[in-house]
Amino acid sequence: MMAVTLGCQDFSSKVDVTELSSEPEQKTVHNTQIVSSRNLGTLEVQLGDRTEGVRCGVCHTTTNESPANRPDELTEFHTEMEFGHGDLTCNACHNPEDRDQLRLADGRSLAFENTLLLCAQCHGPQMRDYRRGAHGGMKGHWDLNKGPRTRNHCVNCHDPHDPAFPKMFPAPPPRDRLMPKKKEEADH
Amino acid sequence: MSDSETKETAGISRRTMLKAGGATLGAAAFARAFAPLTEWKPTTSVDDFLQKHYKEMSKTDMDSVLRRLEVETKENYGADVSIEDVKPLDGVKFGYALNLSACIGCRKCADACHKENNHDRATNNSYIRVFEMEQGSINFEHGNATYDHEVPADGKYYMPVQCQQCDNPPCVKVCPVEATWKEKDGIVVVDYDWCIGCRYCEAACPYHARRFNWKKPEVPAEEINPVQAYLANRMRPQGTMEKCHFCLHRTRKGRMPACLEACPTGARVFGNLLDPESEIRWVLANKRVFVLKEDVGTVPSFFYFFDQ
Ligand code: HEC
Ligand code: HEC
Ligand code: HEC
Ligand code: HEC
Repeated sequence: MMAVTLGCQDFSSKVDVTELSSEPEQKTVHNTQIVSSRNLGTLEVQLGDRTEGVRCGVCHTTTNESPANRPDELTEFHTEMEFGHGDLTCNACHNPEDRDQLRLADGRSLAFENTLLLCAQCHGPQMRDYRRGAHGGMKGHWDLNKGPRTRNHCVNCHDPHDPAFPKMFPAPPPRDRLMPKKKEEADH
Repeated sequence: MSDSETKETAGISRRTMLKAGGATLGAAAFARAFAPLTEWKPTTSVDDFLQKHYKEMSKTDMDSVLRRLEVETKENYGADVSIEDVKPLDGVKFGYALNLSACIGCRKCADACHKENNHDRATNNSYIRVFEMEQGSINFEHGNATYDHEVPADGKYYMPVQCQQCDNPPCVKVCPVEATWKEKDGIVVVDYDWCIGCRYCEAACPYHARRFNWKKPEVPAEEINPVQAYLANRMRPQGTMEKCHFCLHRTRKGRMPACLEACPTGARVFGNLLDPESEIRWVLANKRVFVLKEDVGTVPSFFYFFDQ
């Protein structure tokens, strides 16, 4: 069934922020790049000892007649997916006509590399904060005249299907015994 | 470790001597004038002894001090490092803001500081302490800094505290020898070679942001960050105070502090307070920011906020 054309493009999809006009106009020597941690619009498939990113359209060649709309309707595939994004349906974000595309609320198709705009339509305040550097973090230079900067894509921190930021174990605590007294007591 | 330790504690510590002298006479000026003489001990080299105050050193003086410190680091730690004297930038005053809604208490900032700034491995020292706080409470004195469980825990929030780079720094005022001062970019620095270890500054700091080197910091040669600056992350001598310097060896070259880059939640915002287009200025103008212990009048350059 799968006449597989493997999606072997470069791993990190890089979007120039100025193209997205998602950061305020700046006249600086260097610029900001949004780097996503995975190749958006592909499904990771284990092929022997390799993992390959396979484009959605490779399998989704025809429109499913009774497409699953919610995670619990998936019986054959994508079943390991965790879903916890309100009560959104798959097609609130994925384009049912073309699985290689996303879809905005007004029906317009949207390329996966512009996923930021998908998130932005429902999360305006976070997007605004992100544009101003107050959400989502960054690496590199505070002074863009001295060097460039990279930004995380939303999906690096939020799985679009289960977007709550994950819990984790902290780095080890300090081992000095010189904490102010009050705090040492509070620990016991 | 034990070898160097005994060596350093065997003689009369120059720092202890000076502290005693200063206390008896009670005059800062006296301490300052006599610092070099009373500081003498057998392990002090002649160059060490004759070193001038940071602000009085010429470029040539400084260069020879830096080369000497590089050689000493090689001898004491077996590491090849390069130490620079990185000066403040014109038109820059640094500010830092932290989003307490985003912080999850993972301590990655503290850990990055530990490595970036060549902190003692045994104590896991860091300039950042992360307090686990009860929701509703705002006083970090009641927080717990040694929690060790999955984060964020229910009902808690997390407050990282480091030097607040106050515009009115109580620590600077109490130093009897002017070994700590505020630079024009707002960073409060310590000259580890001038510090006498009296710890007055530590007591004066309302944020418990200063750390004292009770022992010679131990870091394996291969783990030492070799990119160092005189007022920043070079190896500190035993018996001296140290504190967060906003990673001046990075930030004065336009880069982000190590703690910001390490934050997986994007809770930290850093930049130039004098640039109206900067991210930090946007946060100050658009978020309801507050400072810690505003009532003590320290005027911090470090701000906190919650979303909404
Ligand atoms: C290896 C083949 C394969 C790939 C690659 C694949 N899918 Fe699917 N997908 C399926 C199958 C099979 C189903 C039907 C599962 C079911 O009904 O239980 C499905 C179902 C879905 C559904 C539920 C609605 C429907 O049409 O049935 C969505 C949405 C979906 N896929 C999106 C994607 C997206 C987006 C990608 C790329 C990121 C992708 N898929 C890649 C095989 C694939
Ligand atoms: C909130 C919008 C949104 C919803 C709702 C959503 N997706 Fe996605 N999905 C995305 C985005 C954006 C990507 C690309 C980001 C990525 O690859 O991590 C993606 C990627 C995928 C992928 C490939 C990456 C992976 O996680 O395996 C699959 C498969 C997929 N979606 C299936 C589904 C199915 C099935 C549903 C319904 C149960 C669904 N999606 C609901 C936005 C959404
Ligand atoms: C069609 C509207 C819509 C789109 C598109 C959308 N979201 Fe959401 N999102 C929601 C809703 C509604 C909620 C609230 C869910 C709830 O309260 O349980 C939510 C919640 C969230 C949360 C909070 C989750 C939690 O449990 O704390 C995050 C984070 C999030 N979304 C991120 C994203 C990201 C990243 C994207 C883009 C990939 C995105 N959203 C796209 C509607 C959307
Ligand atoms: C560096 C990681 C990171 C990136 C990148 C990131 N976020 Fe978040 N985001 C977080 C953390 C941590 C939280 C949890 C704290 C909170 O709930 O405010 C959060 C919270 C959220 C919430 C929930 C807010 C609430 O009040 O419940 C939404 C919605 C959201 N992010 C959307 C986005 C969007 C949209 C993007 C991309 C423009 C994005 N995030 C990029 C880390 C990130």
